[in-house]
Amino acid sequence: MSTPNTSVGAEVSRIKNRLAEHRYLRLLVAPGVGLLWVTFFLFAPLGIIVLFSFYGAGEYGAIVQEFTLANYERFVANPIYHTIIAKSFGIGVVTTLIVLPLGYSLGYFLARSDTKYKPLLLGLVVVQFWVPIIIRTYAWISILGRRGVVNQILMMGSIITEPLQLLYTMHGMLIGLVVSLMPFMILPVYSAVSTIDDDIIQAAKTLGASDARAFYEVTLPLSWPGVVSGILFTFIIAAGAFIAPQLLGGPGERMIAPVIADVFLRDFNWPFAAALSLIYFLLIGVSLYIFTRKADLEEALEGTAL
Amino acid sequence: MDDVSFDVEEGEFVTVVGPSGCGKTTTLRMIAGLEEPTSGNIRIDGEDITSLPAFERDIGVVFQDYALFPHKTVAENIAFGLKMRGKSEAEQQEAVDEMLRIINLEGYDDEYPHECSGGEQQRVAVARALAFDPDLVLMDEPLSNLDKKLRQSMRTELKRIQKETGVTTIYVTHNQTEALSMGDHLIVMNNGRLEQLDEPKSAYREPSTPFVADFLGQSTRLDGVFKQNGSGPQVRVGNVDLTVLERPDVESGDDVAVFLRNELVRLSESELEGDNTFPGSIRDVDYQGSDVNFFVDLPALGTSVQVSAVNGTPEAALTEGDDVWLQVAAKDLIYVAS
Amino acid sequence: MKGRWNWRAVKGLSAFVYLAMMLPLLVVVLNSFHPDRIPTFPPKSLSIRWYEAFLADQMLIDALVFSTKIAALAAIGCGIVGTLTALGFVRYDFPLKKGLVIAVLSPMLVPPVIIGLASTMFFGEVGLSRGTLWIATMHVLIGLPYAFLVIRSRLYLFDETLEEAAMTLGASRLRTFREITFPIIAPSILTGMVLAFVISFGEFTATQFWVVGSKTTVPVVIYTMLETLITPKVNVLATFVLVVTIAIPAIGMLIQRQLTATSE
Repeated sequence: MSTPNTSVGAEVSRIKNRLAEHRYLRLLVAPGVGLLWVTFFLFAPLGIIVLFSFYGAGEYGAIVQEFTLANYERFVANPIYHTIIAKSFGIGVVTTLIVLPLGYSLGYFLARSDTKYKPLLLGLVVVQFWVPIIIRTYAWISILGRRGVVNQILMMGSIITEPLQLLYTMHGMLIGLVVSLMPFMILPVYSAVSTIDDDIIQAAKTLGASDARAFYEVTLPLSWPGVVSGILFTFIIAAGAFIAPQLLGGPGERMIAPVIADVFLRDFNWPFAAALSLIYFLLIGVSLYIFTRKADLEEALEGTAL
Repeated sequence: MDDVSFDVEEGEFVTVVGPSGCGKTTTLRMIAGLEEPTSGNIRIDGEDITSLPAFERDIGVVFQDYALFPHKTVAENIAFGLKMRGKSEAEQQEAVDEMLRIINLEGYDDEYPHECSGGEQQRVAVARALAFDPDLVLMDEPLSNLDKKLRQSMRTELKRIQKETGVTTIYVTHNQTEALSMGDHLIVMNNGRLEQLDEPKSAYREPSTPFVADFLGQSTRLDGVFKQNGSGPQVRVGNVDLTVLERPDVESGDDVAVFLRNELVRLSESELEGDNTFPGSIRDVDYQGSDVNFFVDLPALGTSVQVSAVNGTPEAALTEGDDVWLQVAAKDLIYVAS
Repeated sequence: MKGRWNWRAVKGLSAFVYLAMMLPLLVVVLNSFHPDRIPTFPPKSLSIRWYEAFLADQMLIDALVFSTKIAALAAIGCGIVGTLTALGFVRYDFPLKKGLVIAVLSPMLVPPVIIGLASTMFFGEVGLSRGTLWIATMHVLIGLPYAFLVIRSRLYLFDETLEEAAMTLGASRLRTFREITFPIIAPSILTGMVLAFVISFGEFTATQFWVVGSKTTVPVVIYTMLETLITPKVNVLATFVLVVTIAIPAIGMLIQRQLTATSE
């Protein structure tokens, strides 16, 4: 695989090799590329949001580039936006509370079970990650609808006579959210629990701990990083969810992400959308800050990288 | 690293020995170009290579864990150095064939490292470092991962290979048997400093620092003061005067460390004659198979001295509690300024 | 191991969760074969009429092709940027390293709505117009943290003395990477790329801001079809996507297993 030794080719190689010896140039490329990418395509845009949030909204989507606090005033003056944000955080919390025990059970089960189907079962969970969330969400329309799977089964079993209104309700949206976010709890917990040496748990038992006690004193604390990771992702994704509220939620379930998108795409009110985004993002930032007081952010973010 | 300077002759086999953390591996890595010295330089054939990156130096390295490329065959591993230098396929094949012959692994061309045994991998690592005809070969404790028997046979192998190729070799080890048996010259290092550079025999018989005296061989150390008066050269240890031979670098009044080499101390049940005779009793016996180590309490010196006896001699049958006599000839007493 | 009843409870709960996760996928596939416009449960018969309709719908086919193209570009981009970034963090020390890792992972924390919105504003200011480059670039951003984490964990396990050996044998840094490092970590790079592929393929919330005209992705098309009226072709499209997003990583994993077997 050696390159043919033309004098130009060899000279270029020599220059490249000499450059590669310079530490600062190396840093510029690795990790420089990634850092620059994120800076340019994430941080810079976020900076622009700050800027835009102080602009005025003109007619038909025009932007008046003058400093104004109008957007923030609008937010403060309209309690409906407060409700929406509060609701979003609330949904985040509720979703996390439901996902936690269910996801933990499955993660725990996968990590501690010995069955030969384990790779298959694990695969079924991982597969959830790969299937687009929009598909996993919209499918519930067929399941929860008036003539959907759930209602049909209940009617056939004569449990109800009238179909239940599950779709376009809080329950429907929550079901969609909870199920689609399951893998974000299952996998980190699985990862964490499977690193716990069985001997440690056995040791606790020989020292007199009951099953419940052993779990509480040994397994749970040791698997905590996985739990933390799951909580982090579940909360952030649920609170900022777009698809589930739009497809499965009703008019009573207005969440912040669809509202922001509406303001931006339908009203063409970029400045106000920017302000809303900024406010929501700052609140998320505060949550994350509180989070870092109690846990390691980097470790939690790595939880899903199996 | 403190102050390390030495010269190596072409074709020589030099061993560098010392305890863990003494800086021998660091020295090696600096010569190879894997680490930068804070000061000083490295010259090969008069040419200063200190500023050259590793890949531009013509130095082969055999790593402790071999570092064979797992995704390349034995032949590809060996040929790698030549490939990097742009040699033709034919030249590469020729070198590979030659090296496989030298290391006695003919036919292993298409094997992968994980398919070879530890000893085989070790030889491939050596072959790889030699194949491109380097100016110098560095070996970093290459035998430490092998079991004892294999280590012994590989020791002979490596010496043979080095003789056959004639390449200058610097060999790092913490094992003094290897250091003494393998090198034309020996370098002892401690705490980042070069303690002594000498032929193995000289270093063993005439250590120049207490550390070297202690490190090579097994001995008991006694601290005392050298004095030269009417009764001749002596070292006073505690309440006792030991008779020694004169040394040019030690003067009356100097603090010295005395080393009694296990094998040079005479042991007997009956009283012995000669310089430095002491009665004592055996406190502890350390059976080691081919020889036996005794720890003998000597009331006169107020301490115990190590003595060894070879398996098969009558002394080897002595046991704890036996009363014995120890004697050390003046010429066998090693002492160095401390 | 928990006590018998506890373990049974865990198993039961797990089975329930599995069912809940599999149900949507099964329903989608089932409905794609449902003869009626509005699928009811259970289907009275099966039909492939919607498959025929799908194959005749050029817009859907175009979306499928475009999504695949974008995902492939994102995969390649994440492979390159992810590897370089991971190398940098594993091999070198520099100030604020811990904070910068979070910076690289930050796309996971920012709600996709905001990513979509902010980048639209930004690109508008910069003067870039919507198109393939825009979407692919942003999908690289979104997939980067995942590729980075996968490749980085492999690099932690990588034996650096192999690189030192290569350098003592005369290989420059670049050559060493090409001959030694890359071949050995290639399986993990592939995994990272596959991850980036499926993430890109399935991305909707941010991507909806970036599509224009015929340059639209499958998830956006699905959403539009759902918003307007549910034609069963959506289920066919979804089934196709299911197959793709399950098959590709599965194949990728098999390849990775093969590659890892020979290079270790």
